[in-house]
Amino acid sequence: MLLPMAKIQIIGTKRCRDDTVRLLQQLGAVQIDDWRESRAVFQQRMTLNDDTINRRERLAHIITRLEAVLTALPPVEAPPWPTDEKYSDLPADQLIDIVASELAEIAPKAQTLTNERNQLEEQLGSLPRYETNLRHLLPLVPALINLEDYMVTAIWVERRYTEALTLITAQLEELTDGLCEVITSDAAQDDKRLTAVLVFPKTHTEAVNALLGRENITQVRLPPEFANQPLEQALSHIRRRLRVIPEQLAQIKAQQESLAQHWRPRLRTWQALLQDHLARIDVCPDFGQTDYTFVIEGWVPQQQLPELTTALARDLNGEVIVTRSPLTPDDQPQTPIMFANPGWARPFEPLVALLALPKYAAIDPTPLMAIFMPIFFGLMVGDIGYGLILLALMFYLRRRFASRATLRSLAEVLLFGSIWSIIFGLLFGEFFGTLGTEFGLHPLWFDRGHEVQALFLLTLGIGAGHIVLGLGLGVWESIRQHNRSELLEKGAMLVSLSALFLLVAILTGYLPASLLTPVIGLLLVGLAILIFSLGKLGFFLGPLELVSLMGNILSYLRIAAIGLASVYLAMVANALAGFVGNILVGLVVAVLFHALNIALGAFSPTIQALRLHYVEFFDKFYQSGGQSFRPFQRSAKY
Amino acid sequence: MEIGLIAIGAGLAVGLTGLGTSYAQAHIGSAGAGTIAEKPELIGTVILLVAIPETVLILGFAVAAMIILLLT
Repeated sequence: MLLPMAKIQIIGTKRCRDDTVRLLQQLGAVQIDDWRESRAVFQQRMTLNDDTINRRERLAHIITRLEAVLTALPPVEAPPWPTDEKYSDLPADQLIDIVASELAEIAPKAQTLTNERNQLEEQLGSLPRYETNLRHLLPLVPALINLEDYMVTAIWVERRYTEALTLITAQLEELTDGLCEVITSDAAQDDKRLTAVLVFPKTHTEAVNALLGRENITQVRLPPEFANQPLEQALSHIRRRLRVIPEQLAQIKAQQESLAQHWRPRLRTWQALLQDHLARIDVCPDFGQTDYTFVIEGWVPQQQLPELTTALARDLNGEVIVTRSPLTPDDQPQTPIMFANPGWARPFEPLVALLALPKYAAIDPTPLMAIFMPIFFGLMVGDIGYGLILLALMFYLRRRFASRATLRSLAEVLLFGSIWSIIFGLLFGEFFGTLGTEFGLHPLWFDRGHEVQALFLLTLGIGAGHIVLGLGLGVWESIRQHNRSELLEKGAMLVSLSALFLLVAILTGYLPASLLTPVIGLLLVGLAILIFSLGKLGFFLGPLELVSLMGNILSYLRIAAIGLASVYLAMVANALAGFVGNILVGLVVAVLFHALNIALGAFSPTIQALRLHYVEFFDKFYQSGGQSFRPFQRSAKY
Repeated sequence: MEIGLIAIGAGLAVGLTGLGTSYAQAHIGSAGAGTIAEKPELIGTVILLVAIPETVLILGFAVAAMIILLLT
């Protein structure tokens, strides 16, 4: 069901504008439409004055700074800050000043901690690499004593390019007139690389660096803090650092958490309040204005209109009035929609919205989906054991995702489905496939694993009923909206389909053959109206529509197909477990197969039941294209 | 022999329509994945488009079932 909406106009004196906006935000019941040129000629779009524009900039700036601090603090479980009332009535400028002074205290602390943490984490990542490099260089160290006027550079050479080292040595000797040394040793090698140390006069540093750069030779560089230390000292220093860094990191994390525990709730509250101030400014250009008044146009759920009117009249001394405009057909595409379904149907709203929201004043298919989808799901799974496991799992997931609306809804949808699975499990006599029969479980209705024909007829019957219901709703919708061509098309489909059902009944001997002529006549009449309603291409499209209608009904066979697949997989699981011989191994095999079947059983029937609704059912009556109701409200409840 | 031929016929009815459906779904699915990456709100339409060719497979299944049920 969709809530009836009222189109309203709020008009007031300009001096009451800010109070009105604040009240509307508090009530959170009005969706404000953007100002349009087509409004009355004496209205103009409201513009912001310089003061307000400045205030807006300050608000945006402080919110950005605040969000930067929030990202620097780790998320923690902290109760909401209870002392927010003293801030909620403050004017924007005053709140900005308070938050700015508080940010001046917290921002540097949070930033310093973040920087330190980043630095330590970076060192934790890079120092082990330096440690490996130094370990490889260490065997060369005894050769590097007292070389004050000489430069020492370590280089890596890939093992497969070892010959390059000979070339480099030759070039280096030529460059330094033989005053150089290239030291390498077997101990300084690993699987992939060879480490070598070059010693040359400091005066040639630039030329050597250029040579190494030209030849694409990687120089081993140490972090600046270790650069001027002897290698052995640097190595032990690095190892010491690697030992203490985790401890320092833990300390910093603890400090960040305690800071977050104290500041996060405050920052969140201020963020919400500041965003509310910003939203109150940003909404104003959507208003119209005359010399002395402001005009707001928008939507409110009809049931909240009296409350809105009373609140505005009471709080603004009658200087602001609400008038309700009549809804014209032109308004319909813009009218926002809001679901108002009973609790049992609400979890199915996101599934309807997943396809597209219904148009205002059109049929909301949510309750119908809430009835049929779990039945289809149950028919496909149809097993007491699987149903019970899914039920327990969905109860758990429902609680686990209590705060995440969509996941919770999905768990509830499957929860209804698993209840129907248990019911159909009883009707088909299935408990983990054929396992129930071993313990004397008998089908209350029929055994779908063996009476396949009955299962096919059942699903086709359900399909026919569902499609006829869809067409019936389509006919009703077209009558309500005075849409003649739609009425003709849907009505003709309904007549033709009924004639086809009767034809099948005659051919299978359920009805006397004498009815054949009138039934064929009915079919032709239905087809003729269908062809007429479809216009010029009707001769091609009419019969095609009828065939596709039959295809739609046959499509419900998927309920039987998926159901049979589930039955046979369960049978295979039990049979395989029996073949193994060893009870324990057999049990493991059975559990694995049944687990696979349950996983498939949760996923595939959901998608198939959804598809039957989206493609086969909705197509007959559903009118999409609505937009969700987005009231102007506070950014968070605090 | 006859049972074997019936089984092969039923298998072909499901198998070939399955191949056809999977070919169509592969193409629609990859285009759909691209669509969702750019416009996540179209996920419902994409599911619908991916689901449409399945009818062919269901019809194949119906034919296979008829072959088995009517001929054995």
